[in-house]
Amino acid sequence: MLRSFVLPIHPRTPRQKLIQLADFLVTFKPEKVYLIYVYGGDKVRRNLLLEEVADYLEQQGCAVEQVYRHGHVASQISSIASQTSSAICFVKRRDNPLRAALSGSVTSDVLRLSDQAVLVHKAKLLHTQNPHPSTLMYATNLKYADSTCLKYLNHNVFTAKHLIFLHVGARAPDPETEKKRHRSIMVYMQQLAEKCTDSFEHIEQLEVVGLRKENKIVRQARKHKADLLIVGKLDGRLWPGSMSGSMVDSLHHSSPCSLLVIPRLD
Amino acid sequence: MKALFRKHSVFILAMALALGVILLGLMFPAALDRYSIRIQDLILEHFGWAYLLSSLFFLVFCLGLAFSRFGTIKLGNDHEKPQYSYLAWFGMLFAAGMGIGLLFWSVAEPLHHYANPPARINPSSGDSASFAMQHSFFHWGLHPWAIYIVMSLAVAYFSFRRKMAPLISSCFYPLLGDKIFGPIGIAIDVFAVIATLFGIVTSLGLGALQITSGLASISAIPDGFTTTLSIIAVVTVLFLLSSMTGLDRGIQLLSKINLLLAFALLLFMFSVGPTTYILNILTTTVGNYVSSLLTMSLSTNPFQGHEWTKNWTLFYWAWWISWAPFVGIFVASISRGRTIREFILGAMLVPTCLTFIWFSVFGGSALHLQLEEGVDIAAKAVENTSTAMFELFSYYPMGEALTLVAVVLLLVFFITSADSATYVLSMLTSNGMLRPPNSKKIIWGVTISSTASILLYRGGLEGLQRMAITAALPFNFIMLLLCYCLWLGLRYEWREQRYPAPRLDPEVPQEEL
Repeated sequence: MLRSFVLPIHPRTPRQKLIQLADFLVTFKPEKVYLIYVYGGDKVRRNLLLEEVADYLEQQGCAVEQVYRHGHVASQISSIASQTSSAICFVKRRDNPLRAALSGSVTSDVLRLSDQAVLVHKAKLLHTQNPHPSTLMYATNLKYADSTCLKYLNHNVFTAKHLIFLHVGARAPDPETEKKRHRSIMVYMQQLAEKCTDSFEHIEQLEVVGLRKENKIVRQARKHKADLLIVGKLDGRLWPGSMSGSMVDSLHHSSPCSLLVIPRLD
Repeated sequence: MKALFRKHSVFILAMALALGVILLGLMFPAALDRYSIRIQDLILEHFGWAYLLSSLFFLVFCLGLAFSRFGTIKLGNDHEKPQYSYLAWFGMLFAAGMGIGLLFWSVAEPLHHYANPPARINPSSGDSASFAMQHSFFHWGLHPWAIYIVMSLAVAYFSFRRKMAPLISSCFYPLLGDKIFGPIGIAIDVFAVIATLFGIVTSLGLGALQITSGLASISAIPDGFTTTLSIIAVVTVLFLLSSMTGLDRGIQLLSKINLLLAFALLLFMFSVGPTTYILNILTTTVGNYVSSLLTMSLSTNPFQGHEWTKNWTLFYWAWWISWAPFVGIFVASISRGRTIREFILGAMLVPTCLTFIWFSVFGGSALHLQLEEGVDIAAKAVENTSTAMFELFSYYPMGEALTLVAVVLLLVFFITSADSATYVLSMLTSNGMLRPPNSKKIIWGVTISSTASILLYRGGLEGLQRMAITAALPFNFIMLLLCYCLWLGLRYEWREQRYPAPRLDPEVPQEEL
């Protein structure tokens, strides 16, 4: 878990953002970083940017492997990550909506396809000059295996001091049931918090009602100045959600901070 | 003072608004008429399509709910049994649906459509007769009941099952949360009160006129305002007495007698009248109705006959929507303990079928007179709608007795409707108390009767009816939101049963990570 990383490098990715991501990864003290470039056409093309980032990481003391692949970009990235049990890192960048609509987004595809953790890094963190996040927000839907996510939260790579558990749910149909619902959720989140007391100085539990969960999560992340938003990936969304895309896909576009998506383990 | 206002905010605001409009009608009846015509025209011209779409949506929504996974949810506690037997329940639904309007329009409406169909149909022809019956079924069939059911289902679910106050604002809790106890909830309830008040005042005023016409046709009682005023006064005393002094049982007995009278009248007209003709009309019109339901539901007729659609169909849809709070709350109050599926199918199909039979008998008899007997009853109906039914009876044996029976029916429906309306208004303005204080009942009862009397005298009653139509536009959107809130509430309940309270999953082995 978070011991090795796959970092796709596209020649058009801004260099500065990649360097900032590299600095961020170095703080995790990874065993290895796989820099991958998936090229189109038949000929292997040299990726100078990839080589530059590889040199930079090696200077920071990281073991690096350069990987060149050919084929469907998202599938190749997911495949490498799966073979090497690595988390996948992307730089968050502003997609051209028209291009994204026509040709799709690699990040969205990887989020959908991959069974490994995916980190979408936003270079300019909200409220700190430190490349490492100081406030984590974990959005739980109470259905996902929180035990898996707790392992990630308690991992020693995170040196954040502040953890916020967030649940966004639907309001109950009447005030009495709503009070009971709120109480049971707070009790449950308290249990989650008790399992994290060793890793964080300050833990908060937040319960919010709303119909559009993605918007509420983004709003709370902004309000509480989260540096890293952590969510689980729940596959198999029912209609009509399956037509409009997953919540994770929506969050990756609209999140005000870096996003870590934890895969579901069956 | 503040506390008093907060406690009675709906009552104070609704009364102030209602009195404002009524004073307008009193002091400037011509102006109210003029502006209300303009507003109504604008609304029906520009938003008529919204009424059609919404009404069809309500119908589809109801049927969808009835056959969905939510159909087995009870309107009450899980093991609660229905308060009333099927027979009693159907009887009360029919009484709620009948009302004063159906008695008259069952004759008048088919004749009106026969004589004045849309431009694309030849008036006073076989085509216009077929059109007349089909559209009468359409206007009084599934759609109005779907509108009532949406309202009554929401109120019944949130009050009987979720134990909230039986107010329309309570139904918005899943969407608005505690905001329903603030200005938004108050606004919704005030709207409902205004729509109910204007609707009942108009109906009672017009109903009193019709009773006067009926009495004048069989007796020496003059057809004038004095008679109308006396009728209103007598009915007011009776329904106020009923609602306050426990004469309720007497009214219930009268209602049952009324239903028996109605069936007796129906049976008489069916057996003495053109029986085969009536059965042919019923069969053919049901077939036409079912096969053309979708077309009729979405026809604004922009190319031909738009004026007719505006004056009839769109007007009716707006009228039913303005009646939804009143009828909806009444139907909800008698349906406790039923499942959603039972409630929707029963409340939709039974009154509709009975209405179709009623229209076939009365409307069919009138058309038979017109088409087969050569009596120009249609012209008389168009000239004076309120005498159409009495005109029909005059061609039947024991015509005067039939008229008397019809007048008795009207009077008792008048009393029971006013009684129910007073109760609903008092309840809505008493934070949903199931036993509202007598003072409120008196105030609303007197308001209804005096308003109807004054506006009848001054000529502002049609203006008030148009104000009720105007109130239907925002209420239409409120009802659409109501559907959404109801769906949210039912979905929450279903998910709670399927996904019980959260618990931490068993620890995942370290190796897997």
